[in-house]
Amino acid sequence: MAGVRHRVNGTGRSRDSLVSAIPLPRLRLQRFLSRLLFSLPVVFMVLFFALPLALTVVWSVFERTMFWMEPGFTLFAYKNFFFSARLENFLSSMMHSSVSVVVAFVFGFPVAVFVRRRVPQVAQHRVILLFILPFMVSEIIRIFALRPVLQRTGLVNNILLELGLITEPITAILYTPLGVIIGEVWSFLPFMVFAGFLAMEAVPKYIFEICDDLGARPHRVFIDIILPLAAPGIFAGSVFIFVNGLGVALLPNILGGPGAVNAGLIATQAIAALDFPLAMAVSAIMMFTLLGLLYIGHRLFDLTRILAPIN
Amino acid sequence: MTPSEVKGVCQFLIAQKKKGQFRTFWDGFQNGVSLLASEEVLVSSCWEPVQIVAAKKSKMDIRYGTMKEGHQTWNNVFMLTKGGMARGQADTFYKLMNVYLSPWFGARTLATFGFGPQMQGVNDYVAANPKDFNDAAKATIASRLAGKANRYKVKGNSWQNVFPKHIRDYQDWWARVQAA
Repeated sequence: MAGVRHRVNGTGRSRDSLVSAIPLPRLRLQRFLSRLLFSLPVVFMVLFFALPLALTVVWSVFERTMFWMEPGFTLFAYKNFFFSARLENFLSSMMHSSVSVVVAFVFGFPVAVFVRRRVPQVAQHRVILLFILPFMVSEIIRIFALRPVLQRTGLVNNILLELGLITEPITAILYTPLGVIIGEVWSFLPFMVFAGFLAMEAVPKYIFEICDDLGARPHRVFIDIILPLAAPGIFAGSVFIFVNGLGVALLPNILGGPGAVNAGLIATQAIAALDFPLAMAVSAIMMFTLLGLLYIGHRLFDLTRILAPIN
Repeated sequence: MTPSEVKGVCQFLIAQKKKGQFRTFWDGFQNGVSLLASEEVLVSSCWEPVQIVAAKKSKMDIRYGTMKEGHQTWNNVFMLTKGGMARGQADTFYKLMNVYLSPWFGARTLATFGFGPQMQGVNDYVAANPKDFNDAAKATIASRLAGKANRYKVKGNSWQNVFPKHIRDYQDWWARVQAA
């Protein structure tokens, strides 16, 4: 009741005095709430990023027991990772992932450029939305569905055989590193399209007109104008695909050859062997690889520029 | 397996892998079925139900066989954990295990999925409860049991690996097989 009377009394006053007319406890509450609102992202990041990452690192130095682990300090899990065949597996999965990034860029980025330049403004977002549709289907089904397409008696081989282009089924496209790369590109191409689309926001349309006026060839426009301006977005998309290629255990498991693994599968198999410290160490190594990549990317391209067009 | 046995097996696997003997490794039921049913692999070391479902699915003549070196044995392990014990679940656990290990369960799994958690007394159970099984189910049980008995004539070839003592050797050597 007091607050209401104050406000009624304060109708003729200046704004400052009006604010001061709000009773102190309520003002404090308001300030507290607004501060809370701003700190929500911090709370979120602490709860869902910093804390899990810290726990991952802490658990990775624990001692392994039969079914779990006990507090302690040992670097055995890291030694076990770096001085075994696991490092080799990790590095080769990094290589496959890098190839996927390049292929996804080659296929995905032109789509983003095309949508930005040729599709009418009003329809652009709808066209981009189409690329979200595949995500409505569970990932495992999407990846498993590649088998009947690529396998020895699959769709691709049958069509090529029918057309007489090959006389024997191609077996190199499934249960090989190539199969994994096809799966990675298939699954993660939309990320390159999204990131590229966002990145192209940093390239104003008039630039293309200027280039046309000055008679620049398309490939020069691409290399000298589009690429440097869109670099942060392309980098963001690339990191996303790279990290997913390293981490999604399903891909090498379902599409890979004998013993194909990536970092995610190394960790999964460590868990299956009840070797939790090793699984944690692999996860920590993956996280630090990602953070290192992001740091390098930020130093090179200033990743805050991705969101600049929105401001 | 002892560390040197693990090493021997994995070196053999690596040599075979380099010769191109493996198309891929499977894990998970559906994964194994899909490989056999699509003719992607010609021979697979797998659970019997994988072969049964693959044969049914593809309508091809896929059989579960035995190597001349010995039949492959699979382990089915049930464990009562300390935690379960502490929560007083021991009685329930033994009750459930008695169901799992009874001919009642053995006959039904044999008639459907084809694996036998235990098969002792299954024939007697089916004979004593003829109304529970139709003719087709009886024939399936009989033929599968006969097949198992036939295979078991060749000595088993599994190592004692239910509770491996040198699990680190298994893990590290397996990583080498994967990297090869």
